[in-house]
Formats: sequence, structure tokens, C-alpha cells
Amino acid sequence: MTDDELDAKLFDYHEGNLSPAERAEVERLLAERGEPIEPPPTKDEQYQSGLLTLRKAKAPAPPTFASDVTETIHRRSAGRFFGRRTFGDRVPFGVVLVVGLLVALAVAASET
Amino acid sequence: MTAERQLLRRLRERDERAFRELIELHRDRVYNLTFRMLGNRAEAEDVAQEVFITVFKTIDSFREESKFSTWLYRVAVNHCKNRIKYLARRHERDRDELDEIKTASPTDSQTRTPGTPAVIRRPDKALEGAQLEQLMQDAIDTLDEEHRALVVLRDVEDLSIDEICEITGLPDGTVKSRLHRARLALRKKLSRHL
Repeated sequence: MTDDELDAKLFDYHEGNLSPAERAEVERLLAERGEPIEPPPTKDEQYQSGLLTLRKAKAPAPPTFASDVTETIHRRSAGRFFGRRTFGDRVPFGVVLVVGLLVALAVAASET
Repeated sequence: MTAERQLLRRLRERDERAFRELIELHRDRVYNLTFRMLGNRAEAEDVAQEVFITVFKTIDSFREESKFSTWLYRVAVNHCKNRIKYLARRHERDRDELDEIKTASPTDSQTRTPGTPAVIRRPDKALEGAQLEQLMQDAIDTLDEEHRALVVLRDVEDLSIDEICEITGLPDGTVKSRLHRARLALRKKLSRHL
């Protein structure tokens, strides 16, 4: 068994994912290597209380976060990123062109 | 069609309101992850913004083979790892330049960046509440980016090993062995300073 495989087994050992037979196998392998079985790191009091504080102290995003992101996208894309909104922040050039052509054709037809 | 699928469809149509809804839904989780990985609010905010910008730019490449939140976490973790490496390189360069001009070394607290090892505060000065949080955060900041990501995803964000494998693209065994080593390293650092 490689060191990586043994470390993965030790993870499961400490998480309580192994059967009694698998636990005994891990203990035998460690004994062969002359390594002590350390207590699970996550059961360590300092480790636990440290993690608990991190989990409790959720860091919320700043209140202006959403506007900051959309503003950045608008700035970087020069307003081209977001889809068109009818008469919104972008001119629908395609529609304007088609309408213009139709008007021109209608005018030309009426003159003939 | 589920609410998430509808939102994704609107995102692909570049609907600005959908983007805002997405940010409102996920901003705190993403920011918390970037903050825990980088240990610095300004960097965390900057990276969290880049995460959403990347999501918006690449939403067409999301094939819905995984959960959207998994994909979002993957983007966030990759951005954080890149930032940690960038900050570490910048820190190294700054230090080389300082060495060259032979100025007096500034204190660690002045030079530390999120990508570089922190000096953990003295235990007698930092034990309770916010200080314990800072102590733990400092200990996490001493890990390299790979181990840091795994500890944050598993022990802070409380994700399953399967989810972490999907996010990181690492095999199950690798996630477990690295996580085991990262936890041992963290415990060692904490026991030395508490």
C-alpha cells in the first residue's frame, strides 16, 4: 500500500467509515511501519473550536456586491453583454435598419 | 421546468435581471468561500466578482451535467487557487526586490498576502471568539492552495467527499489523502500556537 493509499484509509478510519475488519487492517499496517495511531485531527478540541468559529462567523458579501458586479460587466462590455431590453439601455440596430429599409421601399414605391 | 432551469435559460438569453437574481442567490456562499480561501476581505470581494463575471461569460458552456452550485464552486475554487499563486509570486518578487536593495525587513504583518504563509499570533493574545477565528484562518492561510481548498470545502463549507471530487476533479482517494494531511498540518500548527 502506498503512502497516499494509507492516508486515504486513515481519513476513512478517522471519519468512522471503515468496518471493524478494515480498521484492524489499517492498525496492522501502521504497526508494521512503526507509526502510532494518532487521534482524529477533527476530534481535537482546539481544531473543533477553531472550525466552529469559522463556520459560525459567516462572511457575508458586501451589500453593494450585486450592483458592483453588474456595473463591472456593463463597463467591460461597453453595454453589449446583457441582452436587449425593448427601448432599454441598447438601441436595437437590426430592427431600426429593417424598419428604415421598409420605409425607404414604401416611399420609393409611392413615388413611382 | 424547475426554477433553476428557468433561471439558467434566462441567463443564456443574457437577461440582466436573471444575473442579479443569481448573484443574490449565491453571493454569500461564494464570498464566504473566497474569504476563507484567501483570508483577506478585499481580495475575497475582488475574486468573488471575477467568479460571477466568469459564470456570466461562460454560462453557455455549462452543460447541466452537474448541479449549478457545483459548477459555481468549481469556478470559485479555481479563481482562488490562481489568486493564491499570483499573490505568492508577487510576494516572492517583492521580497527579492527588498533583499536586493538591502533595506531593513518589514514585519510579517506588513508583508503578508493571502498567498503566503502567515505567522500565527501568540496564543496568550488570541484565544477567544473573533481571535480564535483569526487564529484558525491564519493557520488555514499557511496551507498550500490545494490543501487549503480541500479543508475549506470539507471542514468549513461542510460539503461531501463526492461533491468535493466533482468540484476539484480529483479522484476520491486523492481528496481523502490530501485532506488527511491538511488536517494533520492544521492541527500541528494550532497545537503549537494555542
